[in-house]
Amino acid sequence: MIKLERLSGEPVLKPDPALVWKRAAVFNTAAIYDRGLFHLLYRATDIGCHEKYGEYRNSIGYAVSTDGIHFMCLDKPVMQPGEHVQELRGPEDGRLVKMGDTYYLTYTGFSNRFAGDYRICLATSRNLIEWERHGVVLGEPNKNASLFPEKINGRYYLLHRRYPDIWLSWSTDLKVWQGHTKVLSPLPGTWQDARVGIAGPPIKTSQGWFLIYHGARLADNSYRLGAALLDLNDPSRVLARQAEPVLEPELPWEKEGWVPNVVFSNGHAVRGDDIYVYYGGADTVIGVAAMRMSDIRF
Amino acid sequence: MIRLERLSQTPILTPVPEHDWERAAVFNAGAIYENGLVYLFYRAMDRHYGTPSPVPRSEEKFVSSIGLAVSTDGVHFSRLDKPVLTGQGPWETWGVEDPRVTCIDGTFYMTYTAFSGRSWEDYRPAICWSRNLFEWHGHEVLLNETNKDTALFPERIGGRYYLLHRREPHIWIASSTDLKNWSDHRILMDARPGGWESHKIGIAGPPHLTDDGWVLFYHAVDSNRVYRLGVALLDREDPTRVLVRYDQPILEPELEWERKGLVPNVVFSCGSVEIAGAYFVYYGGADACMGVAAVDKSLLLKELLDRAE
Repeated sequence: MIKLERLSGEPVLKPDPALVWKRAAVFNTAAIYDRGLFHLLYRATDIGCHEKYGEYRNSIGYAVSTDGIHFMCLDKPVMQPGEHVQELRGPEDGRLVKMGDTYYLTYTGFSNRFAGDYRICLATSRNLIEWERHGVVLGEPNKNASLFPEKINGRYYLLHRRYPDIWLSWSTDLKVWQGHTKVLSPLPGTWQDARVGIAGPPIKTSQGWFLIYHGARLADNSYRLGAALLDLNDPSRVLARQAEPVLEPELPWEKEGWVPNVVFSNGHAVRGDDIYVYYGGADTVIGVAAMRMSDIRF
Repeated sequence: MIRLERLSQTPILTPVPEHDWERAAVFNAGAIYENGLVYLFYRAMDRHYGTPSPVPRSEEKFVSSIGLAVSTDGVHFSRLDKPVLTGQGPWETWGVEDPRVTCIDGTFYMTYTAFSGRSWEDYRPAICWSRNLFEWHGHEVLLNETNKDTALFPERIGGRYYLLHRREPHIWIASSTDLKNWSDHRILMDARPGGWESHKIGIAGPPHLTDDGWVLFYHAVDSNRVYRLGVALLDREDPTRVLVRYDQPILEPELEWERKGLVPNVVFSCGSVEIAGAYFVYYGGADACMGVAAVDKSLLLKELLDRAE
């Protein structure tokens, strides 16, 4: 059975009361291991990130580490609310891939001008600090989207979420997306019976695309992480899906926070055989748990 | 006459009281322009200099670290909350000072002053290297003598690495085939009696290559201990040859934060970058904060070449 092991009993990143934009929460982070460094692009909010706390504003912050556990953080966000009409309340929940020399960040643009005013958006960068926005990717209420880290048979692939399922689509130009297909659905009567959505980008292995995803439970709205395997050539084909979660809320800071009982991942860093999975704890802090590529067995 | 023009009337970096390591001063930053970003490696101090004393006093110990700030426009910076380089070993007990950063063949090199604190003269030029600007290795003594204000040229010339350094009161130059054994030490430019560079001079950051030669910014100290910046042009093929030494300072302490701080009347640079046809020169103001001033590259070169002998 695949399990994630926590690398630290404490969060690796916490809110900073001295900085307004991240004084309440830092969570849901994109991640990549690149040029010998662990990079995070994390979501931060000024107040609790739920409507019941008020009109929170989202930003994306940057953190970097040499060991994957101890991070240094820039004091200003790299993306802020209000910089795009689809992001009046800010960018949320980035997922990051690198193709060639370019970094691609898919994220949720949240404006809240009307019900369901959230869209998958795309930004690109060549240095992880300065981002060029390309606007809305899918003109529909949608979130939890990531590109695959490489083209498959000449096509870009995008995982996304049409509630309550994980969907897949493809494109030749990153603009027009077609062939929308449902890939993974909630499983009634289990820890993932309410909805599912991807964690970070799929990881290429010899067995297939290894996909970590999140599942929410109807009974208490708790979030866990699960694992599945998609076909290398046709990622709409699910080769395997583990019944048990790979991580669930256990520590106090995963069970208590702005939104209780949540472990939610948007990204991971692969260094050699090790997969460092970064996750938001209770929508308040960031933790890290790891597994080995060589332990992927379904 | 050519001068550096300030791009900001206020400091672009100031100390952060919440961070122990940079609560007293941030100044003298090395600079590099890489992949569309300006990276500043600035010297940060945890406390002010002590009161004057014959030897460093442990109860007045101040420790320097190197912090990192990045910018997309060269003026507005975002900073890391922890230092990227701190002192290691007996030579760096009192920290690491005044970094100069150069990229040679894809590897970044930082030369800096390692200060042991055993006596005021017990400092050495040291070197670290990195592939990614965040993780630094080395902490090796570069020249085993009391010396500072060192920088590498950003490429080899005639197969040799070149190093600028400072044996008081002059700017020296040396070369090497392996970055370890330095030879052919000679005076490149000398302090000049009677004027703004009478007490001592030292380089600013690594020189910039142009079609007309190497542009070298440097600092000069007068008999009243006022620090100013000057500029010179070195021969492209033989950097031990000074083609032009501009006779006027191009920046001097004028603003409040350049005249008053931990050390009064100081503008001191450890680095500059070329962006869109201009040199952005970063400088410490009064050993307490950071500023930036710029000059158009072609105007500067024209002015220098007009004065070539």
